Amino acid sequence: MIEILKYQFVQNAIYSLLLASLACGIVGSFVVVKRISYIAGGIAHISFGGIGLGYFLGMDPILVTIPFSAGSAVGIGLLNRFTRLGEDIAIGILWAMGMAAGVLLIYLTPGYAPDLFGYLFGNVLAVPPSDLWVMFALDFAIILSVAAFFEYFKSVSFDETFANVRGINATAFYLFLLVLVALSVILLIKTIGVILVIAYLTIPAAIGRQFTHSLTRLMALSAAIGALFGLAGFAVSYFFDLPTGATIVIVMGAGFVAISALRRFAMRVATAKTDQEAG
Amino acid sequence: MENKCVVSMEGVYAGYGQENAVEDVDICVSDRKLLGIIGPNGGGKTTLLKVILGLIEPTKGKVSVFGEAPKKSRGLIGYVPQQNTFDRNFPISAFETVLTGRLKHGRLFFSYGKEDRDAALQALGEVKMLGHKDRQIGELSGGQLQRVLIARALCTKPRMLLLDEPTSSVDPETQVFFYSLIGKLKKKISIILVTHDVGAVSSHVDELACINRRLFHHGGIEEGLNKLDEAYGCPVRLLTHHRPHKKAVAND
Repeated sequence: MIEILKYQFVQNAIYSLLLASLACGIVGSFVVVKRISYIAGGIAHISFGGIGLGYFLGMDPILVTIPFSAGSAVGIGLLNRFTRLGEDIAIGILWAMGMAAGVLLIYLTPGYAPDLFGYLFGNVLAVPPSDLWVMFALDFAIILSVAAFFEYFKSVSFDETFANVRGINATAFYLFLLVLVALSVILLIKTIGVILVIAYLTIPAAIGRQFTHSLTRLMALSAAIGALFGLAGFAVSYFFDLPTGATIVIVMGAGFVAISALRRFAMRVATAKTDQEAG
Repeated sequence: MENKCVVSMEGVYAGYGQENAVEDVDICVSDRKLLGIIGPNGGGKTTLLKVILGLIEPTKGKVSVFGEAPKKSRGLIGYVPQQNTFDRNFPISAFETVLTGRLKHGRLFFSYGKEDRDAALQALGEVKMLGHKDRQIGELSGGQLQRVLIARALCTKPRMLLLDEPTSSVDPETQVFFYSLIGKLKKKISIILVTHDVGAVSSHVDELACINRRLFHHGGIEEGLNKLDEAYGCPVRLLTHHRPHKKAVAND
């Protein structure tokens, strides 16, 4: 068990999972409490277009995807706000178009075909040190942004109209939040892939919110839960030789179901007990 | 401040898209008075509030709030929205909710200071909710949540309070408390109360405005109630079908 930690690629995998959990704990909490998981899913899939564009231009796909996804996030947010197209329809259309654009651009790129599967479903064992630095920088940007504007993000996520009346530009912070979602997506692409990203942005916070009513504690808890399940899933995938991204998602999802059920059971027992004592 | 109106509207048309939800509305809200705005669903009450708050621009006409454009005067208005505008499962306590009333825009690394906390506690005390300050808002009853929302508006230290259907999901006890609180507050600030509740309006407000797209009445309560049938385009008792026992009051 301990020997595998000596391998550089295993160490990198663990670092990347921890870095991803940190961003997802913070941004995922907002995704869950503001109920924008569908938009987050859309942003994740659209970012595949950025990967394709990167290959097509012969540049680093991840670096190209950063502005591409951030731009798409703002675009999707503006479409949601200012057009009469139903919110879900706009996202549905862009979701598919982003993926399709990615596939076409990679197809049109001369030379050898890159490992598409890795971008779609992640390949945590193939994260190079240079990507770790990019992840580190993205984490830093996310934490700094949320720290600088925490009360605004919180207030706008809770009650946009009231925030507006208080002179706070709710739309700007909404778009800012979507950009942070885009940055988190990029953090996760190499680890678990664009298709499975949404699990990291929703499941840890969905588990965490069952245990706290404080947004800051929810962030810390979600990051810890993400790290725990991420590493557990990684270990399972390593020893049973399974695809890592998918294994992590299944472990997280199973954890969510088990914890929710246990909690409900515990609450029922507690109520039964008080009823008994009362009656 | 022209004509002593804290809010003045002249020939205001406003709405969403092409359709005007309100047309040709003239309103003057006097200082330290309680104005009740009443009218059917879809009659433009909320649109009117949004115009006052500067959330939508009128397509035609003039609006001023405390002698300025609505957007400029926003800071002087305490807004109590309807309870369906936010998610009650949001991880936020009663105290934190009230604190958001103290949020000042445009500051990096903003955090609430002692002054803000004191103001929030004082506001919670004013609505008798100090005992529930640490509870998550979803754990509160409709009436308790309403008090929290009023506290949030109060801790902005407003010169005018704007209440959108404040008694719609509230227990009778809170209603009594609510109207006595409003009675106290209007000695210090102006209040606009949008409501369905004809009975409550007739016994608590100073002035009444009846709106159904156009303004049908603006002024005293007696004449206003007589004109309600006209404003609604149908007998008023239809309006009060949720509370049949109030019929008598409306038809008085």
